[in-house]
Amino acid sequence: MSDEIERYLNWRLADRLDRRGFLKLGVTAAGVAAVAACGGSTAVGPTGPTGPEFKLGVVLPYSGVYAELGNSITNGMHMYFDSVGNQAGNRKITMVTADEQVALADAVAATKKVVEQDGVDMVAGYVSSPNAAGNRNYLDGLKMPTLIANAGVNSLSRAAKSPFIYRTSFSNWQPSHPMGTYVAEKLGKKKIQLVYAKYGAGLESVDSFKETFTASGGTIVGPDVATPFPNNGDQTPFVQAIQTDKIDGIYCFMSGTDAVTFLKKAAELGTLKKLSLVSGAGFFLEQDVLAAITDAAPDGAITGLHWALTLTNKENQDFISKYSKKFSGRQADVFAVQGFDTARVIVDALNVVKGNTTNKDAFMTAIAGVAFKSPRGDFKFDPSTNNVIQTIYVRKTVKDPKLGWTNQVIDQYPGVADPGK
Amino acid sequence: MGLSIIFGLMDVLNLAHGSFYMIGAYAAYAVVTATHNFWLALLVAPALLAVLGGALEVVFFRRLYRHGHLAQVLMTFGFTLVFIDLIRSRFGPTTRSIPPPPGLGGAVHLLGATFSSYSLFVLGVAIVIGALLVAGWRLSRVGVVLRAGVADKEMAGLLGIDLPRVFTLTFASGAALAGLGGAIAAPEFAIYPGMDANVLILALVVVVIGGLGSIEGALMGAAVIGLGYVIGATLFPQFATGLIFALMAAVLVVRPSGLLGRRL
Repeated sequence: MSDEIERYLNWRLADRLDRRGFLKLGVTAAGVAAVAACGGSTAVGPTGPTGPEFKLGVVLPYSGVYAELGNSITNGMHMYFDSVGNQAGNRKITMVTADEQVALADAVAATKKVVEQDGVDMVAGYVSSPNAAGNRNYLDGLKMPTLIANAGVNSLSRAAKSPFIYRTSFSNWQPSHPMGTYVAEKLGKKKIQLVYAKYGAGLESVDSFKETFTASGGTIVGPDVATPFPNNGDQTPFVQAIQTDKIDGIYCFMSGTDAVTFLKKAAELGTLKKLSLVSGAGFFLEQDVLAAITDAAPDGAITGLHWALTLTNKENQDFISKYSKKFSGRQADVFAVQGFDTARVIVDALNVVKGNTTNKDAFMTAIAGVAFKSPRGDFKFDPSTNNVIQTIYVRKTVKDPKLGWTNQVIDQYPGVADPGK
Repeated sequence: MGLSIIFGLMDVLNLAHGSFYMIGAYAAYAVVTATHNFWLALLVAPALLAVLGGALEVVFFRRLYRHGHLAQVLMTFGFTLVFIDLIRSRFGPTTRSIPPPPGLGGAVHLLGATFSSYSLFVLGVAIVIGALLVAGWRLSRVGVVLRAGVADKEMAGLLGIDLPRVFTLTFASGAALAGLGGAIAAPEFAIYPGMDANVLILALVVVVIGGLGSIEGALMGAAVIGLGYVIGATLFPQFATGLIFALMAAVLVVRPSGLLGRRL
């Protein structure tokens, strides 16, 4: 809440400053007219942007189950925009937020609100895949420059990709794809059972794992353990469906509260201790889950993701310390990194086109050409999928004396790009 | 259960019942974080909710009895929004959890199957509370008064029962049960803003299946839903939630007033 209040206050403050700036401009102009003096008008200050305001429509969930993700992404965006003085290409950048909520109908309404009422120049956001996919045709039809800051559904980099929609986060395929090879070849675990929340992200993740795992000589031991999504009931039957005596380990996709309840139940029943490998897509054991389950965490579990809190590169160390300073002690997370990078893409592209966004094709070309060193490592777009090309880190869950439960990077696969089909 | 009594006896449709459950869980979280004593949390949560429930009844809900279900739904729904925002402002939107109490964190082997000992503990508590309620409902003086209230409010009032007091106490104990439920569920499930809606829907379904205003009915409804959900979730995970409502629809077709409900 405190950060929600802070965001609200910031927003009010920005609003007021706007008006004050506007008044000042008016007063100065009147003064200039009255005295008939000439000379450079300095109402906006010597370094302030003089171009028209650049309005960014941010559609992210601020209520409902994904509110935490929306807040983190927004924080990350603020952090980057603030670091460049909220301007680029001689234009002042203003964020107009709208609540994506959970259901598609609300996300559509939020998108239409920023586009039609606020008249934004660009849209960024979307945590949930159905919401990103459901707004795709609308945004594509308007030729609205759009950055997807989380939603991972593969099709947005494949059949449903649009020249106006780029993704700064990941495709569901990406984090799991190197993991199949890693588990089968580097760890030599050949018998794996799949455990996943049965919805788009879960299915796409384990399919991606299966692809490289079986190609490297691994065998998927059936039947898969597929839980309802979200699973508000007891996880016991699913934990007990793990065939501990027939497998080397599990590969798992779950996130948030599902991961929390599943891991706790599995720890209580002693299931995970009987497995020589617990592995999964990184969201299964990301910081939010680890903070909730603490000592029920599976020590030594191996997960793949495009970021880790413990990455030692300078950009990441900078990012996490400044983030926690700026947002009263909050720990940075992968979603904040995605927001931070999304904002950076916008700023860099605006600088390239010198603030001219009326030529949308040129603006999109500028976006496509953005590349930089992100807290997550090298960031660039794939011209054939409009999706980010990035390093996937193999991480091991450990209890760090300073950070508590976290994920240590033990290996990496640079330049992982969605295949686009 | 609390919902069934509140709804059945008082004819108040209390959508804030899920919030009581959520507050119970967060109260348990706060107590466990501060004192590391889960048993204390089991006392604090229901006590807190009893006070809160009683206060809400006296200050707000009492005024609504005359105005029918729509006004009650609106006000209690409003309270769910207030409570969820209060929780979010105090505890933040992240998922939390507390460990099971010492000694109950492991697994037990029974009849060739493995059970988590905390789940068995929850089962035991549920049976004890269920039995106490049924016994109290059938045998005690309070039970008689409550049943009289359910059967015919006006007549009970005419016979000299102090209905406003009974209502306040009923509401408080319904809330306390929800708080206890939340505290007991806290180590078993995750604690997060939004857990209230999930359990509220389940509770409403349970009450509808069991029949309004019937303790035994609520117990049966809970058994039907619990088994239905687990079996459904194991066999067809993608339909688990739908299956519950299909069960409810099926029960209502056969017995429109619920398994043990009085005729409407």
